[in-house]
Amino acid sequence: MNFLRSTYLVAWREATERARSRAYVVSTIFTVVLVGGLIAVVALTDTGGPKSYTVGRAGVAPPALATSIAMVATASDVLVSQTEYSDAAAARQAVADGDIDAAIVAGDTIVVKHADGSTIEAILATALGQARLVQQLDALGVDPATLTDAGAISVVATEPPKSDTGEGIAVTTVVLLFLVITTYGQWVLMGVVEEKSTHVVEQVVSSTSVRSLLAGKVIGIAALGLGQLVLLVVLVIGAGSVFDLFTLPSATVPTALWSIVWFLLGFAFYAVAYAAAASLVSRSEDAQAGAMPVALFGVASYLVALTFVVPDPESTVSRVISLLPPVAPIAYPARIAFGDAPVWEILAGVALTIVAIVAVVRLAARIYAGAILSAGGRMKPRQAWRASRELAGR
Amino acid sequence: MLELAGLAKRYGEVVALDGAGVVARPGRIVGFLGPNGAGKTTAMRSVFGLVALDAGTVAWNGRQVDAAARLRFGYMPEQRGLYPKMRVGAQVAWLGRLRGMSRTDAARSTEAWLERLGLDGRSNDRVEALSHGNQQRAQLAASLVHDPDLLVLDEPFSGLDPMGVDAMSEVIRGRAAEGATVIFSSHQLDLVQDICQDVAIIDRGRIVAAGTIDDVRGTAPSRRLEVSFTDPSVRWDPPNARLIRDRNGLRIYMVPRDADPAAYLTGAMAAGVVSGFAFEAPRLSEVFREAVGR
Repeated sequence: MNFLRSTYLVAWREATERARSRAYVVSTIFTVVLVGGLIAVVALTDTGGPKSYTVGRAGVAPPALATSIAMVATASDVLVSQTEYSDAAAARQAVADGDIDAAIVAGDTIVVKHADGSTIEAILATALGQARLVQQLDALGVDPATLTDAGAISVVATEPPKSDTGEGIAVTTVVLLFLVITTYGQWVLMGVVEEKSTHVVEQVVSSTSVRSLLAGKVIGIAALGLGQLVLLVVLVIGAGSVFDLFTLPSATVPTALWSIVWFLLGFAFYAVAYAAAASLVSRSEDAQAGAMPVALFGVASYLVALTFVVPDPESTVSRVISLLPPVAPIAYPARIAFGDAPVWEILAGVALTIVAIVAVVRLAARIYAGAILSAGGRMKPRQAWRASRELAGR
Repeated sequence: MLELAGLAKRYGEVVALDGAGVVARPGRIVGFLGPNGAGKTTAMRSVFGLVALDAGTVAWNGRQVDAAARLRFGYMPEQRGLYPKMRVGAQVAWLGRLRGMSRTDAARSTEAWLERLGLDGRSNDRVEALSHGNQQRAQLAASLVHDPDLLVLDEPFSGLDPMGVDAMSEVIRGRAAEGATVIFSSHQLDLVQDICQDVAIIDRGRIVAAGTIDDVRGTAPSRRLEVSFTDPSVRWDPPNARLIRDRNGLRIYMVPRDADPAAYLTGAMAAGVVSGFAFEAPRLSEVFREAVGR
């Protein structure tokens, strides 16, 4: 039996047995609901697309009013559709009924449901003022067109243009990646402890190698996490583009795709560490205590990503922090969400993380190999390291 | 043929194996016997490379045991272990595939073994839903699914009722009759006298007696003398005899192998009315006690 075949068989068992477990089904539904909710919130409060309003007009009004409203609306980056009403009462009623957002009646009154200084209120006030101004200039015999030649107004920026808002997507990505990596890392933890505490590991290792068992377990569980993540990405992008339910910020698709890459890297990094920690304990009650150092690394990386990288993704601190292998898998997707992370930096992060994974796998696999067959209480990493030298070849 | 030679293993201050060696031959059943903690499990684990030996060799058909050889071995560990939430049939078949069987062969063999062990109909139950006895059977199926050439069973009879012991013995004998090499351990020395042809008795990591059962019992330095008196209060002190039991008139002594049974019978009859008399080779547990002086 070669290494690849037995690794495949172990991975196949992990994936198929766990996929039918209630934990996986429930966590899939939970994650879909959670991410669906987050995306919906992002889409509703923070969309890149223009808002739209309906306004009504009734009674005498400055002749340029309709044009003026359209111009101010365009300048404010909102869509305004206008409706002519036969009299002021009908327009008022339409506002009261919520058919339209606001109305201008008698050329001097703006009707809104609640006078709360909303965008449409300001747009109509500005437009009405402009229209009146044009009317008065016209009455004075001044051609309004000559006024626009009074001199061009230029806009000078002190900083390059900001990309469209990626903060919602960034936070979602950080939370999601942390959750997925931690959840599936915990599955590896509990799976290894179960094998050791039920002694099934002896039966399995009597006919395969310890390293096949470790590799197969990590790969099988990664496949489940990957499946869940791909499902989410398909749902999010599908809902956004196909059904046109909401407009997603432009960085959503690259962020989602990169998240899959970073999930695999982050999972590889944390899962083998969890496996090594798990192999050192013999009872499932001790699993969480044994895995504390690994879990702390994960939580710390999550907090660092949220507090430093998300608020200011391209600061020097963020750029340095995101290079650290434990942080990289959740920090880079956040930076990618803002759309400003240079490609060479992302690739450098990937390369550095892969180097770290190789190191962690070698360390963790050796601890695992030395500890997984030990009997008795908790083992120290150093003992496991030494034991594995004696069990060479397993 | 399985040959364990010069096995040594120490866990800190505790000596688990101290030069023990065992040989098991095809078609024969070896009982690997000794008290708890004598080193049986450590020796059996060494066959599967589950323990890092300080010294000693483990050879199969004259060659050092490696991963490829182990695929033809079946193992029932002392600490039973199967995935609790996995279905019985799927699990046994999976272990078969892990030892190199094709998917269809593994499925067919799983079905056959589950039926033979009385687990047909339980194939789709989770392991944890089975009774203790049935889990033991599932465990046996897991070690037999690939029809191994070598079967290593660590305390296969522990926790079984008499019917379970019979069923287990039958399967073990069947495998040996088909040419497999079988070695099993037990701490109940006398229970297994009828099951194995060969024995290796281990104590504190050393083999204290080994060979065919008849040889081991026959070459023991003592004989077992059993005398029953109708009247339990009869006074009789046979020469060169060590009393090991005295209950309701049945007295059991250990006497030298070359002692004359007729002389003992005559002496006993002179002391009182004798209702039973036997002079035979000692039981394995007695051989063991004599050998280790406990």
